[in-house]
Amino acid sequence: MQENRERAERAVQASEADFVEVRLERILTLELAQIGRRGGSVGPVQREGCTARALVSGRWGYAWSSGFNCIEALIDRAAGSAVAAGKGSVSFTTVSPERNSFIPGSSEPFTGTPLKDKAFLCRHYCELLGMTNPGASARVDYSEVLRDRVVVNSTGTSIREVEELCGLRMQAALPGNVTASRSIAHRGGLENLRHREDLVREMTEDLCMRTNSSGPTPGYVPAVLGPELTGMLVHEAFGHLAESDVLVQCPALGDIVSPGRRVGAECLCITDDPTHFTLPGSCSWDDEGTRGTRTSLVRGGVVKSRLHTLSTASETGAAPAGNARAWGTGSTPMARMRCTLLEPGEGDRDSLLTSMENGVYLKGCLGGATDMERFSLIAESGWTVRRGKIDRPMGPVVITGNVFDVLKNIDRVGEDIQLFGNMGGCGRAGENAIPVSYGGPHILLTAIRIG
Amino acid sequence: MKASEKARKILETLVQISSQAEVNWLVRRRNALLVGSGSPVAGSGTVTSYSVRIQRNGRAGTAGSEGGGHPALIAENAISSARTGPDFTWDLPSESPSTAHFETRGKLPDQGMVLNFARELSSCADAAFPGTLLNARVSWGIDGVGIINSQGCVGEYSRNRVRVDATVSSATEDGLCRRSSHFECTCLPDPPTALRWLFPALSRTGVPAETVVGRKPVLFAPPALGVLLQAVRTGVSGRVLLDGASWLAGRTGDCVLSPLLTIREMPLHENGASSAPFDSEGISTSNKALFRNGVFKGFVFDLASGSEAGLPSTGNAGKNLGGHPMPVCTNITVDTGNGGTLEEMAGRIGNGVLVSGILSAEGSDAAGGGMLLDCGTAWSISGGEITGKLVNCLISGSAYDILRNVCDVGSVQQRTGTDLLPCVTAEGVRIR
Repeated sequence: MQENRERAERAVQASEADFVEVRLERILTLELAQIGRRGGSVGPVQREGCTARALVSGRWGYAWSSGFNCIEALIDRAAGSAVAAGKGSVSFTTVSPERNSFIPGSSEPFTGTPLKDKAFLCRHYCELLGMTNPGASARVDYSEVLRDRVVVNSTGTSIREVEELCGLRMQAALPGNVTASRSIAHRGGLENLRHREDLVREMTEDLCMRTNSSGPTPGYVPAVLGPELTGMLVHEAFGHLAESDVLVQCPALGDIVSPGRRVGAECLCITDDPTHFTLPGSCSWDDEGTRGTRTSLVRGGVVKSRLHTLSTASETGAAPAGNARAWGTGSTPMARMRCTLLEPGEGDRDSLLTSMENGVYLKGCLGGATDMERFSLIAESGWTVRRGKIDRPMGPVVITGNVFDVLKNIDRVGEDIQLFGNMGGCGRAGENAIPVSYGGPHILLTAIRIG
Repeated sequence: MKASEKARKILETLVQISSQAEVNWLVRRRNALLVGSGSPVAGSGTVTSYSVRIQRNGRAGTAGSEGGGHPALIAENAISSARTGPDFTWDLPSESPSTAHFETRGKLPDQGMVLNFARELSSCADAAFPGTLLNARVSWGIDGVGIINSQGCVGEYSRNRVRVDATVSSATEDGLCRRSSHFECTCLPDPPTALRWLFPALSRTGVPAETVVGRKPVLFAPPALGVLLQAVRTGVSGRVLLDGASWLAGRTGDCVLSPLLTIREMPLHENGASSAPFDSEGISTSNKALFRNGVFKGFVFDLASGSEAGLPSTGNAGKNLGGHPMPVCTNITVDTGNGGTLEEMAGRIGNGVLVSGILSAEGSDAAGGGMLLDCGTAWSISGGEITGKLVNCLISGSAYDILRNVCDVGSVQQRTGTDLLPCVTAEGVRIR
């Protein structure tokens, strides 16, 4: 990679375009699955590619290719595309150029571990799930990604960062569509995935509880949400709204989430932080070469800032904080989240349940989606709450609502923050999913729609 | 070096270490144009990838490479994968598939045509719903696809591919209205048609309607029907059958859906973005009915699942880069009925719901058909008229039950994803 980085540096400096940026990526992936007694794999797969972007007379052009053979030609093609598009008005903020590398180590790097050892890990958890849950079908998936990337641009920036990311997903299902699952992912090696029999125990408890559960009664109810669901709610209900390039697509949003605007109660403080280096989505630099720094998005219920690329930062006069992210050859950097979290407040889960008195308690998250107007999340487990005590199990529960209303309904924020990540990542229309993490403490909502 | 030449070199390496081997290649040449409120951004690129599978010590090993990747490294990765891979107890095909009659229809656009298309699409959106802002990403180009194996099978074809991703957003008196959609085919349609495919009910009012709950007739627009058909896509897979997870197990020949429904798997559709003369194992493909007048006609198999079930491959193997083949469907089509347009079908419903988009279907049991759908865009139908927008509309139940209760099928197919689907109305759908 170092040799290609030096080639890219020379090619960028030789270009006559107003601004040139080259991103080189080498991504190694492996996926293993243990489904009952059957094992399978995808890969190992190695991807190499180069994406070049050029700004000429206020217009972007870009070009990409698999492999690293034609860096110089790609810059020329990108500049050619920009010239062909005529004159435009694109501007971008420049940041202090950096020349640096970040190649972290791990105590048990997966690159040095034989594939059969990883397959054994899957089989071990899968057999344990089968043994502790007679009659259940079990599945365990293992994924690993090693991403080595270089970003070079014509302001003198040249950075290289290596991300080692691996994770597990465990699923078990009993007849009658009674299911339980757990997903974990870490930036680091296999050391984070060993000795996680606690997840199997939790799933066994979940299956037992769900066998005796009845579905939720649809309607609007007060709710206490667990840390994972809180994190996903913040991600879906506010994080995507704060991605500034969406505002270019929809200027009306600019008024709704503009700095200074109140979006929630005093207890609402949302941060996007790339410096949790054990979690997916963390980074030293983004894919435009900007250093990743902690960004306060909402403080005391009031919008403080948004997530920016160099272009959107220029349009709004904001300081970029390393949120321009792309993944894979041919993708261009967009303003995206990294680790988005709700800052802790005061009180634990039980004090929030007591405060709520009657309602529901929801925890765990099977997934979420938003169209910016509405969001939908699936809580893995739910219980009714009576007189401040957990009562009847309900099984998985869908929560849904208007993204602008739900933040206003957050009444209290607990102190017990936890952060989460999984290998699924976050997708946006037509783009590859990128690794992210999320989290928060328990929260109390005055009302939310469950179904 | 041409992709086919490199594939041959990789195969030469693989046959030294395995008794059977195959190499697939895919060359994706693409142009892209991003258009919206800012200056258009143009780009182009080519990505070449290779997938391999080997038989070694009776097991299957796989590996993949995009860009670099020396044949010896690919072989080494495949060997390590074979140590834990599934059994490989069948023979790869020795006959080469015919590609003589395979042709995807339509001419690829140039950048000027795409720019005009995007501008007209934007005007159409604004005319349908004044104040709407449209952003689109159009990518177009040619896929070069090929296979070569150690038994003598060689095949190669190319197909056009056009993909349109679009987002419309507008601020209304009731808040923000925003929707995203996409389709893929082999040429650019005219902008009004594209808008209808992307957003079938864009002109509907944003005024909220009274909440609807209970069992109601529901009119599913093609993008919503496409989500329901995920259960069918998964359920007809021979691999899912062998895993014991398919609701369709033991139901071949039974009438399991509404007699009004004929659902086809169409790998040779002339306008299909997923069309292919042979599958990823080199077996010739064929168009087939999965359900004819509601009767389930049978599962689809690749070589591995077919061998396990004692049946031949149906030419439905598909695989991700570096993965094992799995039985998959390509372009799904649903035959049209006599229902007319979406508005005419709504008129016959009386009181019910129109669902034109699904926000989330996660948590669903796709193979078994169980679903809980969060309808992102839904409208109340009252007295045959579409009267207002429904907020927080959830549909629960089995996709197979919903498809069994279909009582009206529209007369016009629309493209959604890579599928061609009409609108359908189902009775007694549970809304909560």
